[in-house]
Amino acid sequence: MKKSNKPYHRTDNRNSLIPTRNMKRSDNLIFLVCIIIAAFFWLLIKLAEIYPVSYNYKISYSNVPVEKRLTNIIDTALNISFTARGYDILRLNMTESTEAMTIDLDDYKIENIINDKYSINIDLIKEELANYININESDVELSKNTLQFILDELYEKEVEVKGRHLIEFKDQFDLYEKELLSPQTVAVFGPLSVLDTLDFIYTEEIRLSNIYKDQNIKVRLYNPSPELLNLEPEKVTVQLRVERFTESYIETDIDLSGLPETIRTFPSVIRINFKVAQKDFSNIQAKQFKIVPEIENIDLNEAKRLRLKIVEKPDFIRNEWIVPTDVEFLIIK
Amino acid sequence: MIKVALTGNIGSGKSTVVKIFSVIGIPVFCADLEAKLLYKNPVIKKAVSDYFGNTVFNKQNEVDFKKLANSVFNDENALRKINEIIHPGVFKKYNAWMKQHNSYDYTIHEAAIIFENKLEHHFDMIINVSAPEKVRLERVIKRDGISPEHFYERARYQLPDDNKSHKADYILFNDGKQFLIPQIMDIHKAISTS
Repeated sequence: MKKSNKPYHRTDNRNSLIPTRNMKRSDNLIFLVCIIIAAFFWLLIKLAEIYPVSYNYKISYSNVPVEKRLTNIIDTALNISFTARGYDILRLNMTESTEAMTIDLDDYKIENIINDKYSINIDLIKEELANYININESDVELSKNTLQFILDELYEKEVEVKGRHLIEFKDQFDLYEKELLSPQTVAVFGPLSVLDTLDFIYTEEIRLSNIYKDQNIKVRLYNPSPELLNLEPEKVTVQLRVERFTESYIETDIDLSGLPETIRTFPSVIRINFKVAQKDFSNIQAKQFKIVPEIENIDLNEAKRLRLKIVEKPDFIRNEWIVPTDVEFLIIK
Repeated sequence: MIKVALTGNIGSGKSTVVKIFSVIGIPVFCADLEAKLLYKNPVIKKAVSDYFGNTVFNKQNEVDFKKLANSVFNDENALRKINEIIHPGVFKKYNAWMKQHNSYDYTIHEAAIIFENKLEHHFDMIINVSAPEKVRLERVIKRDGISPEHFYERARYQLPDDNKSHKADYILFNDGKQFLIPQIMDIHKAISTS
Protein backbone atom coordinates (compact mmCIF):
# COMPACT_ATOMS: atom_id res chain seq x y z
CA MET A 1 0.00 0.00 0.00
CA LYS A 2 1.29 3.41 -0.99
CA LYS A 3 1.93 5.77 1.78
CA SER A 4 -0.30 8.78 1.44
CA ASN A 5 1.18 12.29 1.82
CA LYS A 6 -2.17 13.91 2.58
CA PRO A 7 -2.27 15.67 5.91
CA TYR A 8 -5.61 14.06 6.90
CA HIS A 9 -3.76 10.83 7.36
CA ARG A 10 -2.00 12.49 10.24
CA THR A 11 -5.26 13.80 11.46
CA ASP A 12 -6.67 10.34 11.40
CA ASN A 13 -3.73 9.17 13.46
CA ARG A 14 -4.25 11.98 15.91
CA ASN A 15 -8.02 11.29 16.17
CA SER A 16 -7.32 7.75 17.02
CA LEU A 17 -5.66 8.97 20.29
CA ILE A 18 -8.62 11.02 21.62
CA PRO A 19 -10.88 8.13 22.74
CA THR A 20 -7.98 6.77 24.79
CA ARG A 21 -7.68 10.07 26.84
CA ASN A 22 -11.45 10.33 27.39
CA MET A 23 -11.50 6.83 28.65
CA LYS A 24 -8.82 7.67 31.24
CA ARG A 25 -10.83 10.65 32.51
CA SER A 26 -13.93 8.56 32.80
CA ASP A 27 -12.01 5.99 34.83
CA ASN A 28 -10.88 8.67 37.26
CA LEU A 29 -14.43 9.89 37.75
CA ILE A 30 -15.74 6.41 38.41
CA PHE A 31 -12.92 5.86 40.89
CA LEU A 32 -13.76 9.12 42.68
CA VAL A 33 -17.45 8.23 42.89
CA CYS A 34 -16.55 4.84 44.30
CA ILE A 35 -14.35 6.49 46.91
CA ILE A 36 -17.18 8.83 47.93
CA ILE A 37 -19.66 5.99 48.14
CA ALA A 38 -17.17 4.00 50.19
CA ALA A 39 -16.56 6.96 52.48
CA PHE A 40 -20.29 7.47 52.85
CA PHE A 41 -20.83 3.88 53.84
CA TRP A 42 -17.85 4.05 56.14
CA LEU A 43 -19.40 7.12 57.80
CA LEU A 44 -22.75 5.38 58.15
CA ILE A 45 -21.08 2.43 59.77
CA LYS A 46 -19.12 4.69 62.12
CA LEU A 47 -22.18 6.74 63.05
CA ALA A 48 -23.99 3.55 63.87
CA GLU A 49 -21.36 2.65 66.41
CA ILE A 50 -21.66 3.52 70.13
CA TYR A 51 -19.42 6.27 71.60
CA PRO A 52 -18.90 7.56 75.15
CA VAL A 53 -19.08 11.39 75.32
CA SER A 54 -18.90 13.99 78.05
CA TYR A 55 -20.15 17.58 78.02
CA ASN A 56 -19.60 20.36 80.55
CA TYR A 57 -22.56 22.76 80.64
CA LYS A 58 -22.60 26.25 82.14
CA ILE A 59 -25.87 26.54 84.08
CA SER A 60 -28.34 29.41 84.00
CA TYR A 61 -31.99 29.60 84.98
CA SER A 62 -35.17 31.04 83.56
CA ASN A 63 -38.61 31.67 85.03
CA VAL A 64 -37.46 32.37 88.56
CA PRO A 65 -40.54 32.59 90.85
CA VAL A 66 -41.92 36.12 90.68
CA GLU A 67 -41.77 36.68 94.42
CA LYS A 68 -38.06 35.80 94.54
CA ARG A 69 -34.83 36.90 92.94
CA LEU A 70 -31.95 34.65 91.92
CA THR A 71 -28.93 36.26 93.53
CA ASN A 72 -26.34 33.51 93.36
CA ILE A 73 -25.85 30.24 91.45
CA ILE A 74 -23.94 27.82 93.66
CA ASP A 75 -23.61 25.01 91.11
CA THR A 76 -22.51 26.91 88.09
CA ALA A 77 -21.59 23.91 85.91
CA LEU A 78 -22.92 20.42 85.22
CA ASN A 79 -21.02 17.57 83.60
CA ILE A 80 -23.08 15.07 81.60
CA SER A 81 -21.57 11.80 80.37
CA PHE A 82 -23.34 9.15 78.28
CA THR A 83 -22.82 6.58 75.58
CA ALA A 84 -24.84 6.92 72.39
CA ARG A 85 -24.81 6.13 68.75
CA GLY A 86 -22.84 8.47 66.54
CA TYR A 87 -26.07 9.52 64.76
CA ASP A 88 -27.60 10.73 68.03
CA ILE A 89 -24.44 12.49 69.17
CA LEU A 90 -24.25 14.27 65.82
CA ARG A 91 -27.91 15.31 66.05
CA LEU A 92 -27.37 16.57 69.60
CA ASN A 93 -24.36 18.59 68.52
CA MET A 94 -26.20 20.08 65.58
CA THR A 95 -29.46 20.97 67.31
CA GLU A 96 -28.56 21.77 70.92
CA SER A 97 -25.90 23.84 72.64
CA THR A 98 -23.33 21.69 74.35
CA GLU A 99 -21.80 24.54 76.33
CA ALA A 100 -24.64 26.33 78.14
CA MET A 101 -27.87 25.04 79.58
CA THR A 102 -30.77 27.22 80.65
CA ILE A 103 -33.00 25.44 83.11
CA ASP A 104 -36.63 26.50 83.18
CA LEU A 105 -37.51 26.53 86.87
CA ASP A 106 -41.20 26.21 86.01
CA ASP A 107 -40.49 22.58 85.10
CA TYR A 108 -38.83 21.70 88.43
CA LYS A 109 -39.86 21.40 91.98
CA ILE A 110 -37.80 23.92 93.93
CA GLU A 111 -36.85 22.73 97.37
CA ASN A 112 -35.68 24.94 100.21
CA ILE A 113 -32.52 23.58 101.82
CA ILE A 114 -31.90 26.23 104.44
CA ASN A 115 -32.63 29.96 104.68
CA ASP A 116 -32.36 31.32 101.15
CA LYS A 117 -30.58 28.27 99.72
CA TYR A 118 -32.66 26.23 97.28
CA SER A 119 -32.13 23.23 95.04
CA ILE A 120 -33.75 21.27 92.22
CA ASN A 121 -33.48 17.57 91.47
CA ILE A 122 -32.20 17.20 87.94
CA ASP A 123 -33.29 13.65 87.17
CA LEU A 124 -35.62 15.28 84.66
CA ILE A 125 -32.59 16.43 82.68
CA LYS A 126 -31.36 12.87 82.58
CA GLU A 127 -34.77 11.67 81.40
CA GLU A 128 -35.12 14.37 78.74
CA LEU A 129 -31.63 13.77 77.42
CA ALA A 130 -32.15 10.00 77.29
CA ASN A 131 -35.37 10.47 75.35
CA TYR A 132 -33.76 12.94 73.04
CA ILE A 133 -30.92 10.69 72.03
CA ASN A 134 -32.83 7.42 72.32
CA ILE A 135 -30.81 5.76 75.05
CA ASN A 136 -31.59 4.35 78.44
CA GLU A 137 -31.67 6.76 81.36
CA SER A 138 -29.15 4.52 83.08
CA ASP A 139 -26.63 5.31 80.34
CA VAL A 140 -26.65 8.99 81.26
CA GLU A 141 -24.40 10.08 84.11
CA LEU A 142 -24.65 13.51 85.74
CA SER A 143 -21.89 15.01 87.88
CA LYS A 144 -24.57 16.10 90.38
CA ASN A 145 -28.06 14.96 91.17
CA THR A 146 -29.17 18.35 92.44
CA LEU A 147 -28.30 21.92 91.52
CA GLN A 148 -28.18 24.56 94.22
CA PHE A 149 -28.74 28.29 94.07
CA ILE A 150 -29.69 31.24 96.25
CA LEU A 151 -33.12 32.81 95.95
CA ASP A 152 -33.66 36.04 97.87
CA GLU A 153 -37.06 37.29 98.85
CA LEU A 154 -38.18 40.14 96.63
CA TYR A 155 -38.74 43.45 98.43
CA GLU A 156 -40.04 46.77 97.26
CA LYS A 157 -38.49 50.17 97.93
CA GLU A 158 -39.60 53.60 96.79
CA VAL A 159 -36.54 55.58 95.70
CA GLU A 160 -35.95 59.08 94.39
CA VAL A 161 -35.21 59.62 90.72
CA LYS A 162 -32.33 61.91 89.75
CA GLY A 163 -31.93 63.33 86.30
CA ARG A 164 -28.69 63.15 84.37
CA HIS A 165 -28.32 65.54 81.53
CA LEU A 166 -25.64 67.19 79.50
CA ILE A 167 -27.23 70.20 77.89
CA GLU A 168 -25.62 72.83 75.72
CA PHE A 169 -27.80 75.89 75.64
CA LYS A 170 -27.95 78.52 72.98
CA ASP A 171 -26.18 81.74 74.01
CA GLN A 172 -27.88 83.51 76.97
CA PHE A 173 -30.23 80.59 77.61
CA ASP A 174 -30.13 78.37 80.66
CA LEU A 175 -32.25 76.14 82.87
CA TYR A 176 -34.73 78.29 84.76
CA GLU A 177 -35.12 75.82 87.60
CA LYS A 178 -34.03 72.33 88.52
CA GLU A 179 -35.46 69.77 86.17
CA LEU A 180 -38.90 68.44 87.06
CA LEU A 181 -39.20 64.66 87.06
CA SER A 182 -42.49 62.88 86.82
CA PRO A 183 -42.81 60.68 88.76
CA GLN A 184 -40.23 61.87 91.26
CA THR A 185 -39.95 58.42 92.85
CA VAL A 186 -40.20 54.91 91.48
CA ALA A 187 -40.72 51.48 93.01
CA VAL A 188 -37.68 49.24 92.89
CA PHE A 189 -38.11 45.50 93.40
CA GLY A 190 -35.16 43.38 94.42
CA PRO A 191 -33.34 41.59 97.22
CA LEU A 192 -33.19 43.46 100.52
CA SER A 193 -29.39 43.40 100.53
CA VAL A 194 -29.31 45.33 97.26
CA LEU A 195 -32.20 47.66 98.07
CA ASP A 196 -30.47 48.68 101.31
CA THR A 197 -27.63 50.19 99.29
CA LEU A 198 -29.94 52.02 96.91
CA ASP A 199 -31.00 55.59 97.73
CA PHE A 200 -31.83 56.91 94.28
CA ILE A 201 -32.03 55.91 90.66
CA TYR A 202 -30.56 57.94 87.84
CA THR A 203 -32.17 58.42 84.50
CA GLU A 204 -30.22 57.50 81.40
CA GLU A 205 -28.13 60.52 80.40
CA ILE A 206 -29.89 63.09 78.26
CA ARG A 207 -27.65 64.89 75.78
CA LEU A 208 -29.08 67.99 74.13
CA SER A 209 -27.53 70.89 72.28
CA ASN A 210 -28.51 74.38 71.10
CA ILE A 211 -31.47 74.45 73.51
CA TYR A 212 -33.52 77.64 73.80
CA LYS A 213 -37.01 76.50 74.79
CA ASP A 214 -38.74 74.19 77.27
CA GLN A 215 -38.24 70.47 76.84
CA ASN A 216 -40.37 67.46 77.81
CA ILE A 217 -38.46 64.25 77.42
CA LYS A 218 -39.47 60.68 78.19
CA VAL A 219 -36.35 58.94 79.40
CA ARG A 220 -35.56 55.41 80.52
CA LEU A 221 -34.27 54.87 84.04
CA TYR A 222 -30.80 53.49 84.47
CA ASN A 223 -31.05 50.11 86.16
CA PRO A 224 -27.76 49.57 87.98
CA SER A 225 -28.32 45.82 88.23
CA PRO A 226 -30.83 44.55 85.69
CA GLU A 227 -30.41 40.93 86.76
CA LEU A 228 -31.40 41.75 90.34
CA LEU A 229 -33.63 44.79 90.19
CA ASN A 230 -36.89 45.66 88.52
CA LEU A 231 -38.05 49.26 88.21
CA GLU A 232 -41.65 50.33 88.07
CA PRO A 233 -42.13 52.41 86.00
CA GLU A 234 -39.07 52.03 83.80
CA LYS A 235 -39.38 55.49 82.26
CA VAL A 236 -39.95 58.98 83.64
CA THR A 237 -40.72 62.33 82.05
CA VAL A 238 -38.07 65.04 82.44
CA GLN A 239 -39.35 68.57 82.13
CA LEU A 240 -36.74 71.26 81.50
CA ARG A 241 -37.77 74.90 81.81
CA VAL A 242 -35.54 77.10 79.71
CA GLU A 243 -35.34 80.89 79.86
CA ARG A 244 -33.22 83.67 78.42
CA PHE A 245 -30.89 85.10 81.09
CA THR A 246 -29.16 88.43 81.45
CA GLU A 247 -26.40 89.71 83.71
CA SER A 248 -27.25 92.50 86.11
CA TYR A 249 -26.28 94.00 89.44
CA ILE A 250 -27.78 95.80 92.38
CA GLU A 251 -26.27 97.78 95.22
CA THR A 252 -27.25 97.32 98.83
CA ASP A 253 -26.08 98.23 102.33
CA ILE A 254 -24.13 95.72 104.36
CA ASP A 255 -26.35 94.51 107.21
CA LEU A 256 -24.48 95.14 110.46
CA SER A 257 -27.43 94.64 112.80
CA GLY A 258 -26.42 91.26 114.19
CA LEU A 259 -22.89 92.19 115.24
CA PRO A 260 -21.74 92.20 118.88
CA GLU A 261 -20.05 95.60 118.44
CA THR A 262 -21.13 98.76 116.66
CA ILE A 263 -18.99 98.96 113.58
CA ARG A 264 -18.80 100.96 110.38
CA THR A 265 -17.56 99.35 107.23
CA PHE A 266 -15.79 101.00 104.30
CA PRO A 267 -17.48 100.86 101.93
CA SER A 268 -20.88 100.45 103.53
CA VAL A 269 -22.58 99.66 100.23
CA ILE A 270 -21.62 96.73 98.07
CA ARG A 271 -22.54 95.58 94.60
CA ILE A 272 -24.08 92.19 93.95
CA ASN A 273 -23.61 90.90 90.42
CA PHE A 274 -25.83 88.07 89.24
CA LYS A 275 -27.59 86.38 86.38
CA VAL A 276 -31.35 86.60 86.20
CA ALA A 277 -34.01 85.37 83.81
CA GLN A 278 -35.30 88.26 81.74
CA LYS A 279 -38.83 87.61 82.94
CA ASP A 280 -37.71 88.14 86.56
CA PHE A 281 -35.52 91.17 85.89
CA SER A 282 -38.09 93.73 86.99
CA ASN A 283 -38.77 91.87 90.26
CA ILE A 284 -35.29 92.43 91.67
CA GLN A 285 -35.08 94.78 94.65
CA ALA A 286 -32.19 95.60 96.97
CA LYS A 287 -34.25 94.68 100.06
CA GLN A 288 -34.38 91.07 98.84
CA PHE A 289 -30.68 90.76 99.60
CA LYS A 290 -28.96 90.51 102.94
CA ILE A 291 -25.20 90.81 103.06
CA VAL A 292 -23.45 90.36 106.38
CA PRO A 293 -19.82 90.23 107.52
CA GLU A 294 -18.50 86.82 108.51
CA ILE A 295 -17.54 87.22 112.16
CA GLU A 296 -17.41 83.59 113.25
CA ASN A 297 -13.99 82.88 114.85
CA ILE A 298 -12.89 86.47 114.19
CA ASP A 299 -11.54 88.81 116.85
CA LEU A 300 -12.94 92.19 115.78
CA ASN A 301 -10.21 93.96 117.76
CA GLU A 302 -7.50 92.23 115.76
CA ALA A 303 -9.06 91.89 112.30
CA LYS A 304 -8.39 94.52 109.65
CA ARG A 305 -10.96 93.37 107.12
CA LEU A 306 -14.25 91.52 107.29
CA ARG A 307 -15.21 89.03 104.66
CA LEU A 308 -18.77 89.41 103.37
CA LYS A 309 -21.31 86.76 102.59
CA ILE A 310 -24.77 86.69 101.04
CA VAL A 311 -27.27 85.22 103.49
CA GLU A 312 -30.49 86.20 101.75
CA LYS A 313 -31.21 86.51 98.06
CA PRO A 314 -34.10 85.93 95.70
CA ASP A 315 -34.43 82.32 94.57
CA PHE A 316 -34.52 83.32 90.94
CA ILE A 317 -31.01 84.77 90.69
CA ARG A 318 -27.89 82.72 90.13
CA ASN A 319 -24.11 82.97 89.68
CA GLU A 320 -24.07 85.82 92.17
CA TRP A 321 -20.89 87.42 93.43
CA ILE A 322 -20.23 90.52 95.43
CA VAL A 323 -17.82 93.40 94.98
CA PRO A 324 -15.91 93.99 97.15
CA THR A 325 -15.67 90.62 98.83
CA ASP A 326 -14.27 92.14 102.02
CA VAL A 327 -14.33 95.53 103.70
CA GLU A 328 -12.29 97.50 106.18
CA PHE A 329 -14.08 98.52 109.33
CA LEU A 330 -13.91 100.63 112.46
CA ILE A 331 -15.37 99.73 115.82
CA ILE A 332 -17.38 102.65 117.16
CA LYS A 333 -16.95 103.00 120.92
CA MET B 1 -6.66 124.47 114.93
CA ILE B 2 -4.96 122.77 112.05
CA LYS B 3 -6.47 123.17 108.58
CA VAL B 4 -5.92 119.99 106.58
CA ALA B 5 -6.75 119.65 102.90
CA LEU B 6 -7.59 116.24 101.47
CA THR B 7 -7.10 115.91 97.74
CA GLY B 8 -6.70 113.20 95.17
CA ASN B 9 -7.38 112.57 91.54
CA ILE B 10 -10.63 111.26 90.12
CA GLY B 11 -11.33 107.70 91.35
CA SER B 12 -8.64 107.79 94.03
CA GLY B 13 -11.19 107.07 96.79
CA LYS B 14 -11.42 110.42 98.53
CA SER B 15 -15.04 109.80 99.50
CA THR B 16 -14.16 106.61 101.37
CA VAL B 17 -11.32 108.41 103.19
CA VAL B 18 -13.66 111.27 104.08
CA LYS B 19 -16.17 108.81 105.53
CA ILE B 20 -13.49 107.23 107.71
CA PHE B 21 -12.32 110.60 108.99
CA SER B 22 -15.95 111.50 109.74
CA VAL B 23 -16.44 108.25 111.67
CA ILE B 24 -13.43 108.98 113.86
CA GLY B 25 -14.92 112.39 114.62
CA ILE B 26 -13.06 114.76 112.33
CA PRO B 27 -15.20 117.49 110.71
CA VAL B 28 -15.01 117.38 106.93
CA PHE B 29 -15.86 120.20 104.53
CA CYS B 30 -16.69 118.85 101.07
CA ALA B 31 -15.73 121.69 98.75
CA ASP B 32 -17.01 120.06 95.57
CA LEU B 33 -20.43 119.49 97.14
CA GLU B 34 -20.55 123.04 98.46
CA ALA B 35 -19.53 124.36 95.04
CA LYS B 36 -22.44 122.54 93.43
CA LEU B 37 -24.81 124.06 95.97
CA LEU B 38 -23.43 127.50 95.19
CA TYR B 39 -24.61 127.21 91.60
CA LYS B 40 -28.16 127.57 92.97
CA ASN B 41 -27.25 131.01 94.35
CA PRO B 42 -28.85 133.72 92.07
CA VAL B 43 -25.71 135.86 92.14
CA ILE B 44 -23.56 132.94 90.97
CA LYS B 45 -26.14 131.92 88.36
CA LYS B 46 -26.12 135.44 86.95
CA ALA B 47 -22.31 135.47 86.79
CA VAL B 48 -22.36 132.12 84.96
CA SER B 49 -25.07 133.31 82.63
CA ASP B 50 -23.19 136.53 81.87
CA TYR B 51 -20.13 134.59 80.76
CA PHE B 52 -21.54 131.41 79.19
CA GLY B 53 -25.03 132.56 78.17
CA ASN B 54 -28.08 130.34 78.59
CA THR B 55 -26.50 127.35 76.87
CA VAL B 56 -25.28 125.86 80.18
CA PHE B 57 -28.71 126.03 81.84
CA ASN B 58 -31.46 123.42 81.74
CA LYS B 59 -35.21 123.97 81.32
CA GLN B 60 -35.61 124.54 85.05
CA ASN B 61 -33.08 127.36 84.77
CA GLU B 62 -30.55 125.41 86.84
CA VAL B 63 -26.92 125.03 85.82
CA ASP B 64 -26.50 121.81 83.85
CA PHE B 65 -23.14 120.48 85.01
CA LYS B 66 -22.66 118.31 81.93
CA LYS B 67 -23.19 121.27 79.62
CA LEU B 68 -20.93 123.42 81.79
CA ALA B 69 -18.21 120.75 81.71
CA ASN B 70 -18.49 120.63 77.91
CA SER B 71 -18.19 124.42 77.73
CA VAL B 72 -14.98 124.56 79.75
CA PHE B 73 -13.56 121.54 77.95
CA ASN B 74 -10.49 122.63 76.03
CA ASP B 75 -11.07 126.25 77.03
CA GLU B 76 -8.62 127.39 79.70
CA ASN B 77 -10.08 130.87 79.88
CA ALA B 78 -13.55 129.48 80.57
CA LEU B 79 -12.12 127.18 83.23
CA ARG B 80 -10.27 130.04 84.89
CA LYS B 81 -13.44 132.13 84.78
CA ILE B 82 -15.62 129.50 86.40
CA ASN B 83 -13.03 129.07 89.17
CA GLU B 84 -13.03 132.84 89.72
CA ILE B 85 -16.81 132.75 90.06
CA ILE B 86 -17.04 129.76 92.37
CA HIS B 87 -13.93 129.63 94.57
CA PRO B 88 -14.46 132.88 96.50
CA GLY B 89 -17.92 131.69 97.41
CA VAL B 90 -16.66 128.26 98.44
CA PHE B 91 -13.95 129.77 100.65
CA LYS B 92 -16.42 132.16 102.20
CA LYS B 93 -18.51 129.16 103.19
CA TYR B 94 -15.42 127.28 104.35
CA ASN B 95 -14.36 130.11 106.64
CA ALA B 96 -17.82 130.27 108.14
CA TRP B 97 -17.81 126.52 108.59
CA MET B 98 -14.38 126.70 110.26
CA LYS B 99 -15.67 129.10 112.87
CA GLN B 100 -18.29 126.53 113.83
CA HIS B 101 -15.63 123.81 114.22
CA ASN B 102 -12.81 125.69 115.93
CA SER B 103 -12.91 123.46 118.98
CA TYR B 104 -11.43 120.50 117.05
CA ASP B 105 -7.73 119.68 116.82
CA TYR B 106 -8.03 119.77 113.08
CA THR B 107 -10.58 119.85 110.26
CA ILE B 108 -10.46 118.50 106.73
CA HIS B 109 -11.24 120.36 103.53
CA GLU B 110 -11.87 117.87 100.74
CA ALA B 111 -11.35 119.05 97.17
CA ALA B 112 -10.17 117.33 94.01
CA ILE B 113 -8.22 120.31 92.73
CA ILE B 114 -6.17 121.96 95.46
CA PHE B 115 -2.80 122.15 93.69
CA GLU B 116 -4.31 122.83 90.27
CA ASN B 117 -5.97 125.97 91.58
CA LYS B 118 -2.94 126.87 93.71
CA LEU B 119 -4.98 126.79 96.90
CA GLU B 120 -2.38 124.93 99.00
CA HIS B 121 -1.35 128.08 100.85
CA HIS B 122 -4.80 128.13 102.53
CA PHE B 123 -3.93 124.96 104.48
CA ASP B 124 -1.46 123.81 107.10
CA MET B 125 -1.19 120.27 105.82
CA ILE B 126 -2.23 118.40 102.69
CA ILE B 127 -3.10 114.72 102.36
CA ASN B 128 -3.06 113.17 98.91
CA VAL B 129 -5.11 110.03 98.28
CA SER B 130 -3.07 108.08 95.77
CA ALA B 131 -4.06 105.18 93.55
CA PRO B 132 -2.70 103.79 90.28
CA GLU B 133 -4.41 105.12 87.17
CA LYS B 134 -5.65 101.65 86.18
CA VAL B 135 -7.36 101.23 89.55
CA ARG B 136 -8.89 104.70 89.34
CA LEU B 137 -10.13 104.06 85.83
CA GLU B 138 -11.85 100.82 86.92
CA ARG B 139 -13.46 102.53 89.91
CA VAL B 140 -14.82 105.44 87.90
CA ILE B 141 -16.15 103.25 85.10
CA LYS B 142 -17.90 101.10 87.70
CA ARG B 143 -19.16 104.08 89.72
CA ASP B 144 -20.23 106.50 86.98
CA GLY B 145 -20.67 104.16 84.04
CA ILE B 146 -18.53 106.33 81.80
CA SER B 147 -16.19 105.36 79.00
CA PRO B 148 -12.39 105.26 79.42
CA GLU B 149 -12.17 108.21 77.00
CA HIS B 150 -14.47 110.24 79.21
CA PHE B 151 -12.34 109.33 82.24
CA TYR B 152 -9.19 110.58 80.54
CA GLU B 153 -10.97 113.80 79.51
CA ARG B 154 -11.86 114.49 83.13
CA ALA B 155 -8.45 113.44 84.41
CA ARG B 156 -6.49 115.67 82.04
CA TYR B 157 -7.27 118.79 84.15
CA GLN B 158 -5.73 117.19 87.20
CA LEU B 159 -2.05 117.09 88.07
CA PRO B 160 -0.40 113.69 87.81
CA ASP B 161 -0.72 111.64 90.97
CA ASP B 162 3.06 111.59 91.47
CA ASN B 163 3.20 115.39 91.46
CA LYS B 164 0.46 115.63 94.03
CA SER B 165 2.11 113.06 96.25
CA HIS B 166 5.39 114.91 95.97
CA LYS B 167 3.77 118.18 97.09
CA ALA B 168 1.59 116.64 99.82
CA ASP B 169 2.54 116.25 103.46
CA TYR B 170 0.89 112.83 103.78
CA ILE B 171 0.05 110.18 101.23
CA LEU B 172 -2.73 107.61 101.61
CA PHE B 173 -2.23 104.64 99.31
CA ASN B 174 -5.67 103.47 98.28
CA ASP B 175 -4.84 100.88 95.65
CA GLY B 176 -7.25 98.29 97.05
CA LYS B 177 -4.38 96.16 98.31
CA GLN B 178 -3.13 98.13 101.27
CA PHE B 179 -5.26 98.65 104.34
CA LEU B 180 -6.64 102.17 104.37
CA ILE B 181 -7.81 102.52 107.97
CA PRO B 182 -4.41 101.88 109.60
CA GLN B 183 -2.86 104.52 107.31
CA ILE B 184 -5.59 107.00 108.23
CA MET B 185 -5.17 106.26 111.94
CA ASP B 186 -1.42 106.87 111.65
CA ILE B 187 -2.02 110.23 109.94
CA HIS B 188 -4.72 111.08 112.46
CA LYS B 189 -2.31 110.45 115.34
CA ALA B 190 0.45 112.42 113.64
CA ILE B 191 -1.77 115.45 113.01
CA SER B 192 -3.41 115.30 116.44
CA THR B 193 -0.06 115.28 118.22
CA SER B 194 1.65 117.89 116.01
